[in-house]
Amino acid sequence: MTYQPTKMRAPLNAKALGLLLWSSVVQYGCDESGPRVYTAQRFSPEVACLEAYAPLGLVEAKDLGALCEPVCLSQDVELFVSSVCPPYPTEASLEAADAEGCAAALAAPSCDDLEPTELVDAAVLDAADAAAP
Amino acid sequence: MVWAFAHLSLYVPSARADDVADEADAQFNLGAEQYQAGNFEVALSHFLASNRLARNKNVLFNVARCYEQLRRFPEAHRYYTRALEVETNSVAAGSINQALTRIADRVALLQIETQPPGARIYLDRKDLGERGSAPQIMALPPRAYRVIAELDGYRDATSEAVTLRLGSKRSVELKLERIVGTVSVGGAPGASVRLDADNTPALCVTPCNVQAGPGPHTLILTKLGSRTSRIPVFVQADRITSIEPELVADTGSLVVSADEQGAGIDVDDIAQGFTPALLSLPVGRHRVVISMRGFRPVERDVVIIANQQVRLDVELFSSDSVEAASRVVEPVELAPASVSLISSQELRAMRYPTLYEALRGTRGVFLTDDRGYQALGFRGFGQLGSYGNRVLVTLDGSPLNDDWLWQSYVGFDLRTDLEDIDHIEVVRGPGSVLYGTSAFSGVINLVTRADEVPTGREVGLSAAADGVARARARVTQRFSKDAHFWASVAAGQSQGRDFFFPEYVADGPPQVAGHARGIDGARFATFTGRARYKGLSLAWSLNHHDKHLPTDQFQTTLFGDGRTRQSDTRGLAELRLDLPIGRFLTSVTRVHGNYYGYRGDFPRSPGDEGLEVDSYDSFWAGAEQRFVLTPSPAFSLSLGAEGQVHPSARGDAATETAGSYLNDDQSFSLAALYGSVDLRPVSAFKVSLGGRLDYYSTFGASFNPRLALILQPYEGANIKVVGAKAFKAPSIYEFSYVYIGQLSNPELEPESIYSAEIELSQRLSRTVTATVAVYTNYISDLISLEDAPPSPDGTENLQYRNTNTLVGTLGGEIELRRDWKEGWMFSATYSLQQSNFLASKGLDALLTLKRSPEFREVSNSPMHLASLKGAVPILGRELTLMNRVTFEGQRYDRDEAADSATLQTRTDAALLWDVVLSGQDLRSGLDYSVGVYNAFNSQAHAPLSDEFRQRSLPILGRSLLAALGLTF
Repeated sequence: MTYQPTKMRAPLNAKALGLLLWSSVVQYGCDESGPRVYTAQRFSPEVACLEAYAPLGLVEAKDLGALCEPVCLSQDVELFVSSVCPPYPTEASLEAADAEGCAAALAAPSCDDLEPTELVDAAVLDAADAAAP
Repeated sequence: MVWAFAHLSLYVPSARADDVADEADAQFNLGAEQYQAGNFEVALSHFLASNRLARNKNVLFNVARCYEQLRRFPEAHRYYTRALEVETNSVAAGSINQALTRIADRVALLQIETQPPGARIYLDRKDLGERGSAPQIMALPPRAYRVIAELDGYRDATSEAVTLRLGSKRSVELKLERIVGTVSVGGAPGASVRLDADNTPALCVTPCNVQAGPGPHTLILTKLGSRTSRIPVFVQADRITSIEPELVADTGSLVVSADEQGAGIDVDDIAQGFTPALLSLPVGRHRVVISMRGFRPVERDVVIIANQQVRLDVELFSSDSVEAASRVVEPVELAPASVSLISSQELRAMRYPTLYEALRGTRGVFLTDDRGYQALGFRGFGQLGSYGNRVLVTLDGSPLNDDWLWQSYVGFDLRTDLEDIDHIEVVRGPGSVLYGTSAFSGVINLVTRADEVPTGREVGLSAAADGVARARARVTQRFSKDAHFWASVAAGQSQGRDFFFPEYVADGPPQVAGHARGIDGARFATFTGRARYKGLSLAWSLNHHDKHLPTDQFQTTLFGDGRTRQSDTRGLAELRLDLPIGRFLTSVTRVHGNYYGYRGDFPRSPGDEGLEVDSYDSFWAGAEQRFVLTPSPAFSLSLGAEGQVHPSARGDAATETAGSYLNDDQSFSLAALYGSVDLRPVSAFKVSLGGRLDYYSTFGASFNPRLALILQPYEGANIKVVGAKAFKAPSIYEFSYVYIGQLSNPELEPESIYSAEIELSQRLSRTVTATVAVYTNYISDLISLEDAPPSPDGTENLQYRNTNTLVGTLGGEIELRRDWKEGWMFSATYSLQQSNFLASKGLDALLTLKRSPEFREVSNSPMHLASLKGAVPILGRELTLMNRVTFEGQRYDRDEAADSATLQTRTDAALLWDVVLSGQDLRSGLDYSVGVYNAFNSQAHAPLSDEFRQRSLPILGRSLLAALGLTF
């Protein structure tokens, strides 16, 4: 066997190589969107406060800021308030600020900010009231 | 006169049979008679006639006498002179001189010389006739003369007018210019050029110019190893004639064969093909090098004889050299540590997508993967959440760990692929004696392929693992044996995996419900290369890795949110000079610049401050000088010093609602002195003793020694006894990272490991080796995240602290290995190790592994590890089948504290089968691999640190591998 020089090898010119590299770079450089967890605070009408942030739904977005103006969202029969920027989850509906219940929800404090004693006392009072003849 | 005639009678030509002699004799006698009679004119005519018929010195004398009598003194002087030139008798010569003296005052003399001599002489005009040749002295009538000299091959030369006077003598010297043409001889260099005759001296060596007289000539070219070439040329006066002769080599045949097909053949540093080959080579001595990836190159001198065939049969043996154990290249059996090599053949046959995957099944090594980072554990210890910072990964000896956590990178965060890697060196046990920090449990050195790669280009596409697609290109340029350059660029991305974590079913929106879909992808790119000229080299490596995280991080981020990601960028540039100083001393100088950058995005709800972005950036530089003195094979001394400056290790962290809460810019530096001495008084015994003193501006000093005894008591046996200490410096992260609930700790001290090992290897044949090893490790001052005093506001705090926890390990390993030979390979390993948190510091506690009552089992420490590897050549190099079966035993989870309220669970053992078909076609330059990793589709888990709610993560299930490369 005698070695055949490199001419025998399959030709591939520099253009093909450049195209391959360029497509790789373009592919690599593109940023992408993806699933983002939209969180909101459920409005508790019983105590008129906002519960802790919890996932409300998934949205497709590139970014999802947390510092937008609070909005009122409804899902099923519950109201939620969130300062997370749009897009909003399709499972929830954006409500007008003056929609029924939204004004209260948007004005409600965080449940964590309420004095614990008030809650306890209120619960006790409520229980006592309920038990009262 | 009487004398003259008496004298003449002695020289009368004897009677001859031919007529000419008789006639000359007759004329002579007539001349003599007439002279006696005083008829000088008649006598002269007879003497001249006699001289024409038969030249005779005595006749010349008589002619002169006649002219003298006739008072024609110039002619008399000329004939006296000619007679004197041929006279051999001293008495007669005296008479002639007397005659010349006698007439000297009556003639004018002109002495003519030419350069070169022998030119024909004319006076005044050539048509007056030739006057003899130079040199000569002419007697002429007094007047002015112009002398003309003529010689074939030369231009005529004419003198100025020369005035002659009686009784005086003038001289004329004429230099004749040669008439030449030039032959410019190009073509084959190095040939000796001769003109017209073989036995003449060589005029020049091609390419050169030869000057020759006009007319036809023959140039004769000779060169060793070539046939003599005779080239007719016609030289034109004052013209240049160019010729480009081609020498036909005198050739013979060389048949090169090796027990490995496809080994490269270089003849006199020029690639000539692959084994087996029949080569036609010029006659003479040649240097033949047969090389192949993964084998030791073989060099042979061969002498090619004209028209004859020479055979060269060689046997190639697997390369078993290692550099990472001593920072000098040495046979594995003499390295002062336990070493495994992942050969280039194996890398090519299995096409491992990452270093992490390549190390699976290596004796004593086990793996973890938290989907953010992959990490290695060595010999029963791999602390969860430590980011592999007790393992040092190097590229051609240059550390690649970062300077934030000392983290090692072993996945796509290290390199996009392993195509530029020739082989991998795995050094078990402490290595701080050479490398300083992080060479704690082991050192892994990636050796790039460079020297054996011919000029060319490579492109490749591949798919592997969890939806990984990659592309790469490489260019290699060899300028000479001592100079080459290569660079490669590669990029890829991964789709990642989908997970279901029951721990998160109750969390998150209903669409998530514990599923992490489409949030595990990654992108990565690598740019690396090296330029080398003799001992000077510049190497660089830049890798970027951007990874999405499918888990929640720190148990605080939003599960299922695709923004959770982190990226790592690691850059290294190193300038190195290897300089021999004399026969025994080598200087190694290294300067390097480094970069590490990190960015982490951790999404949280606005109530938890929104998106948190952490970043870290650090540039650092270092220099190292090392001298290696090797005056004899029995003694070697290495001394060196190293320094590093980390001027700005900057960490930042901010959240959307709280803004920046960490803006930390640290600086630190380190310096180290090290030395080692190797003694080998007899070939069967070697002792290696070394130590390194590191000083860090952050914590102070750490000294780490190593002692190794290597014995070869009988043929094929190799025993290593190694004792060593290593350290891991507290990282800048552990020192200074602050977050809500996490405190910095500037008081940290380095961790230490003490290790002792005995390894016995027995070579059963030239390719088969059996190895048994037993070892113990003892770790103290372990750094871990511990409870710290709460903040004044009641916030509970954590802090990195040196614990009193001691970890002891006892282990044993066996391995049977058949080196790669003719496409076949086999290895089997089994490791048994047990690690415990020790009850006390005593040796008894270590040897009995007496467990501390405060702890349960050491997490992430498999007791059993095993592997089988085997390769079969189905169609030579065109098709190889390789299998790998690995077993990783059960591992305990992170719940190590004895007082923990939850039980410590164990992961299932993992039995993995990987099978790959691969091959290459040397003629087309194509290579390929197709295979299946984890063909059993094992769903075993690997434990996780307490950064995660999950205790473990499933390993990657069955995945396909495909790769296609082209070299051109």
